[in-house]
Amino acid sequence: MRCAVPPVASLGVTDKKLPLRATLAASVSRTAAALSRATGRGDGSVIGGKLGMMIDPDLLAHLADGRRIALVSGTNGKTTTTRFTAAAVGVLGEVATNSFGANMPTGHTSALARAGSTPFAVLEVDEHYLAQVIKATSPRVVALLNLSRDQLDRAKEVAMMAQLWRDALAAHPDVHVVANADDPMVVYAAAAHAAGSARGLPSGSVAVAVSGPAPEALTSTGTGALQALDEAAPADPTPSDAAAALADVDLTASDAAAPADGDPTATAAADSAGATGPVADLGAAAAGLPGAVAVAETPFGRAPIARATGGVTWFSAGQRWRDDAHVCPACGAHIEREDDGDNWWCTSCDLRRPTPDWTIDGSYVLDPAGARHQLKLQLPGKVNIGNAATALAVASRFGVAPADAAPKLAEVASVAGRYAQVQRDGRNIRLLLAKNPASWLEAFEMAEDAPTLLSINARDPDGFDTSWLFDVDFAPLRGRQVVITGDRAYDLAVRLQVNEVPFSHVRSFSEALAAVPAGPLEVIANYTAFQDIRAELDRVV
Amino acid sequence: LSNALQIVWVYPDLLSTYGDRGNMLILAHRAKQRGIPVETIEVRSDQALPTGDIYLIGGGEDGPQALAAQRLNADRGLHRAVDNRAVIFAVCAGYQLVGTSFFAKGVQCAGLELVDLYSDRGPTRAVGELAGEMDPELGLPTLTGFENHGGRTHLGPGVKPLARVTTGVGNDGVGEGVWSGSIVGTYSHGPALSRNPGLADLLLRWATGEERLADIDDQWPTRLRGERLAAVGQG
Repeated sequence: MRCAVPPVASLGVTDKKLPLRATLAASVSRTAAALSRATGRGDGSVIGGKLGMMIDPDLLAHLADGRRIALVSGTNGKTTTTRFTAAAVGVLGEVATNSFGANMPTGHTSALARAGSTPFAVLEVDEHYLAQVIKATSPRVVALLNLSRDQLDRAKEVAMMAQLWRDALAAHPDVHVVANADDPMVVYAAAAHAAGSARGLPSGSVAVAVSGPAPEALTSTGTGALQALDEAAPADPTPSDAAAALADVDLTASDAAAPADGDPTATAAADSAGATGPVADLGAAAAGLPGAVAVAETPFGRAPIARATGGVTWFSAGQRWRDDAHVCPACGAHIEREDDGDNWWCTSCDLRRPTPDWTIDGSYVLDPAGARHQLKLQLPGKVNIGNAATALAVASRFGVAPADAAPKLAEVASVAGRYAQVQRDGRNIRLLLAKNPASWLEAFEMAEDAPTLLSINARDPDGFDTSWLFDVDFAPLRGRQVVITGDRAYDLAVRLQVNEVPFSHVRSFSEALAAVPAGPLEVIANYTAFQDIRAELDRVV
Repeated sequence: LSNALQIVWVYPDLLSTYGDRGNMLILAHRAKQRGIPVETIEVRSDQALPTGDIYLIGGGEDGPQALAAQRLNADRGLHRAVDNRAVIFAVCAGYQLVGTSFFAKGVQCAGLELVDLYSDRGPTRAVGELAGEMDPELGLPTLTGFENHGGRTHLGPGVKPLARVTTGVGNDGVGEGVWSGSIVGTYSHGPALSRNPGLADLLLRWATGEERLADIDDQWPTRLRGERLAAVGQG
């Protein structure tokens, strides 16, 4: 479906403080977003930002200026944690947020333009874009949730992602980091940042980087691997002809698939170019920064280590999926784990689980002072208690007391359709999004013992490689009525057959509804399959 | 369990990036369907490799791949397995490992030298559907899989590719994978054996010495194959 954008009527609306070009860009952005929603093509969370950034490439920085901002990134849980954090910070004042999961810079631009002037912003950030968005928005706080395999055909290797995060933080030593102590990849990314603070890993940055017998093959520079990953990247993802794009915009392609507002392979090129950047940038920036800048030999090459002033708050929320962190990201040795607990440590170097400041115990969150805060969330599962704890930790950096924020978290009933409950034809349908092995484990923990519809696609935002289905153990579904659908239902069928989970296959959501009795129906779907079903249910939010 | 077919999954802690567990699960499932007792053994990289009938080596990131090569060369268990004519099925990074050398993080690393082949870096990363006509001697239908690798693999004289590429890149745009004695290597994920049940059964026949195996319910793998091959215009 193609849709011509008419002359923009709202150009007269001005935003105080914004440069003229940014004002025009923000206005076009809002109008396009409104059109996208009005025509039913999407949430409007991507297209508006796309157009605005064509007019003013620095629009995001302009829109971020003057706001106190928190960024939330990680493989899983970032949309929900962003929603919780926005609710918690909302105790203090108005919060701009990208609540529809559009988590690349166009989505951030759109969200800030739409919100107008707000004192706060809480933005979900795709993990590949974190460096870019930190640079553009100068956040006070960055929350790092977890890193695991996702979109196998094009996502960066997990350890490389951790290194890119580490580099991104090194270039911004004044940012405060709220990080997951249970995930070795996240701890590696944040450990250097803790160096200047009292908590976490004392002198962790340099010690972690230089100690330990790194295998010889690992001591080479990381540049080759980065290039290898970036080989397929197109040269320039930026549309050059903004006028043509304005006149003839394909809203369906860009907007229906909210998170894919850029080509992730294209960002790889940008990241790669930036990979050598921080060394030079940091040198230039160092003069104005408190604390020294050093360059340490790491297993991944020479990395800039800035003396962090921002510090780290560690949280522990439990981590069910552990298969991407058997090998230490710092030195390549084995990570050992406590059998029945969250503790872990590298068998060779100093990387180990930091003592968490925030922890959870059942439905309670324990703050750094040891006070217990009971959460009465509507969202299911232990994973959401963890997301809520993270949100409380971030909000407390803005001065929000956990006791004030907790009731706000309890008001969240669904997040961009996730966890939403919908009545249709006598079926009480609950929607769960599960897009990679780690999130499938979490979905099974949340799902009730009820008929279950599984839907799998492998379109662009999902990743094209479905091999990960074999990393998920579907055994928890044995004994339930299982119905499968989606573009790649046959991949799932083979997986379930090998897993000895009986199932039936249907070709549509309506067939699936007809196949199950009245009563509860759990729907677990990956990204675009989830959006398809959400569209069938009138874009439930 | 000494009579059971022993399937050894090599280093899942290092080489299990692309659903590689699937190949083990599928072999075990297909053997059990024929009443063949199976024992699956997952061997971490800090453990010694035991003797077994089928060894599976999966895909992995550059660092873990290099580490796996060092440990397997020190362990020598795979070398003994080849001497004992065990079956080896190696995918992607694992496939590159069985050769003489490969590149990880821009550095040339020593392989296991189990097959006369080596890998270097290609001009582009090969990502997408992969299909090819199997070597006629194997008597198997079209290979289908999904590839994602930056390396190119070059076979020595007297070593045959597993398939002739019709879609995708494989080793070098012409040949895909290798077979040599009872060693099969491939760039196919999927996992490979989910889309190629005939290849799974070939490995089982080699390992058991059975001339043929009883038919089992393959309606879902058959539909999956049909759909994936149709998607690349080879339906």
